[in-house]
Amino acid sequence: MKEKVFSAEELSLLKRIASALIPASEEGGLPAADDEVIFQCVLENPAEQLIQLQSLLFELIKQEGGAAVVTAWDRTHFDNWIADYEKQWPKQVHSFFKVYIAMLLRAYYQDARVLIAYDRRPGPPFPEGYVVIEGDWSLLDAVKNRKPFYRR
Amino acid sequence: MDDVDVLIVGGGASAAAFAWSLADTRMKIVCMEQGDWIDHTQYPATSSNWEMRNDFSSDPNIRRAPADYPINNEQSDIAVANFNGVGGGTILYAAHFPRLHPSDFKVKTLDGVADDWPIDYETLAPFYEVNDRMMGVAGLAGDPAYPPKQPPMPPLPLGRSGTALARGYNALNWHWWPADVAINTEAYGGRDKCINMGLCGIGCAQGAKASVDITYWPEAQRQGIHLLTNCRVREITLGRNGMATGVTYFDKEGKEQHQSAQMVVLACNGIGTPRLLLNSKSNLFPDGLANSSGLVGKNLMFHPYTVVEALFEEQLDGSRGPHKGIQSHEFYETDESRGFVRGFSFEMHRGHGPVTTAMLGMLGNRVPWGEGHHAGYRKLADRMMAVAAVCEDLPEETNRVTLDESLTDSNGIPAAKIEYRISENSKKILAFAAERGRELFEAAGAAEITRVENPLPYAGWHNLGTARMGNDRQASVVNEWGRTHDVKNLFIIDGSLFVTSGGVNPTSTIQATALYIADAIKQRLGDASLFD
Ligand SMILES: Cc1cc2nc3c(=O)[nH]c(=O)nc-3n(C[C@H](O)[C@H](O)[C@H](O)COP(=O)(O)OP(=O)(O)OC[C@H]3O[C@@H](n4cnc5c(N)ncnc54)[C@H](O)[C@@H]3O)c2cc1C
Repeated sequence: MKEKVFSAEELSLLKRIASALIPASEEGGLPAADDEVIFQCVLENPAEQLIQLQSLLFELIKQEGGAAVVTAWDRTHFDNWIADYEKQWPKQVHSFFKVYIAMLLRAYYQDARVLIAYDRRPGPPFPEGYVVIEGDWSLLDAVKNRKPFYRR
Repeated sequence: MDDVDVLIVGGGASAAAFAWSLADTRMKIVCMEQGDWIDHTQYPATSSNWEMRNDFSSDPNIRRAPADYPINNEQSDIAVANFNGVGGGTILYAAHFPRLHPSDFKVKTLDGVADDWPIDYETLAPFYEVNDRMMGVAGLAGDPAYPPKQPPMPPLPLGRSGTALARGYNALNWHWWPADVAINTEAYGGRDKCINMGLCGIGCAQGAKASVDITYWPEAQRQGIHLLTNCRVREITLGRNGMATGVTYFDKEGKEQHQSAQMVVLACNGIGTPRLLLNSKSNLFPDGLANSSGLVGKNLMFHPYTVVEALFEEQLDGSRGPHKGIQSHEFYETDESRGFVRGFSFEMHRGHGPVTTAMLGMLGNRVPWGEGHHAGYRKLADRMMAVAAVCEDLPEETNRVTLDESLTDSNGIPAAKIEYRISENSKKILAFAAERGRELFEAAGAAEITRVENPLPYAGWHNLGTARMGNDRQASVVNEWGRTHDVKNLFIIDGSLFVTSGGVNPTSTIQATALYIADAIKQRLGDASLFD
């Protein structure tokens, strides 16, 4: 339903930007952020947030002459355009990137393939939980010898 | 409902302890809470998108649940954080459970600032102990920063993060100790042990964290206490004799009702309680109930926080394990050579989940866009940790809660407005603490400091001081056992009554004080002097 917020052209642009921001990597078999599953997760954000993203995208590409112009750029031109925005990150950058990057990261770093690549069990933390090692308690010996130092 | 003996407003940390303690009097005790019971199966930990969820945000202005009331933070350096529902703030608290120090009760005598409390550490000591047992506290006896105490459970694991930090403390010869936490490290009180989800701050689906909806409240209910949910109190009503007659509240359907009571007890926390008193105006109290001192809402104290975060080359725990592992009280007590009075404690922040790590990494330009993204992220994942300084905030009358002129909650009740500026003394503590944090991580062998946030703008977790306790009725709102000076059957038992804030998280003391007040009431019931 929610992909209806975006036109096919906007969706394709959003995906192109996503893969420029987080590309695939062979090391660890990491997908790009425009991967179907991950992108679907982006589209599951509340409709009002997607509408906000859409209007920010519109503002951004209007400066370049609109979606058709940006879509027609070759890879180098497109990458340079993104790189120029990265130079303004995070404070001065166009709000589109602030909103979109937050959405992408939230979707990307909950993906099972990504979590496994970083040695993290995918899925909800409950009920399995995680293991934390006990650590080196002998370090406390130094403090145990200290006299009480609270004031009365 | 017919007239009740005791009507408690608010169903959070203090209310639950108080109600449980008073249950053995067999009086008719009712608690009204504006929120509902929280279904633990709905906590973010039960879903894969736990880092995306806003419904358990600690900011009521973001959460905007039906139980929430909006808060105007525009004129405050720090935004209020809370949770409204059965359990109150304990639903989201990190369960760091330190006690105040003996010196915290006498800052005027020792350091010539603020005021002494009318009670001391020894008064609260037996109630701290009961509370530790009822909540279930893990920790280790023998901390040289405190008088002797014996937590009922062994401490949390140090883990990789705690071990790295402890190395730093030892290199500098600074105090550290496993933190007292209200988290089960073994099965306790009918609840299972912690499974290291690291999500204490968004609700513990395991039930290992002691939120009062699963500690005190079930015990209190078993003993006959009535807890009414979705009841939002608008006003405390007053009789011609100047005694409270009960409360006016909105029920679940939004219908206005009145409940009469022999005694009214406020437990709405340091923001909700002054809001309710200020909303309870009458001919006798045109400036708000129990406000003849003019101090209701004033002297608001948060604990300003500074956070120093560092990156290590070695692997740490990341977000696995409770946030708080070890703490340091090296700089807790006053040392005038530092240029300020009072001090702070350091608490450990174990690490972040994957989304937050990526976000912070990108914001700090350590995780680039494009090709370098993955290598940048890999360097950070499970390799960051932080310390947070919990700085003592001294009371200032200009820091206050008032009623907002236009903002209201869903029942049309005026919302709270916060006016709060960090004082010069607190700023000095914060700056000093930030430097010590850097030193600590250098000593611990961190590769670099990745973030210093000073102050942390959203850290209004501890809301204290807005209806302070004291013997002098012109300089305080309640007496030394929680009864308001102005209305003899009106009590306050939450963090509002703190005279000073100390430099540690307050809930252990809030609950110990609530138990102490319940005990004081029971004694006076015995000799019929309660309303003298
Ligand atoms: C994210 C977070 C982390 C925290 N971490 C820690 C920690 O690690 N250690 C620590 O010591 N403390 C921590 N705290 C603070 C701790 O939660 C509070 O100190 C504690 O809950 C305060 O207890 P209380 O009884 O004063 O109020 P609360 O627990 O806040 O309860 C007040 C209750 O009153 C209800 N209420 C308010 N107004 C009305 C009304 N008009 N009618 C009916 N009901 C009303 C509210 O809905 C709420 O449930 C944290 C808090 C937050 C939000």
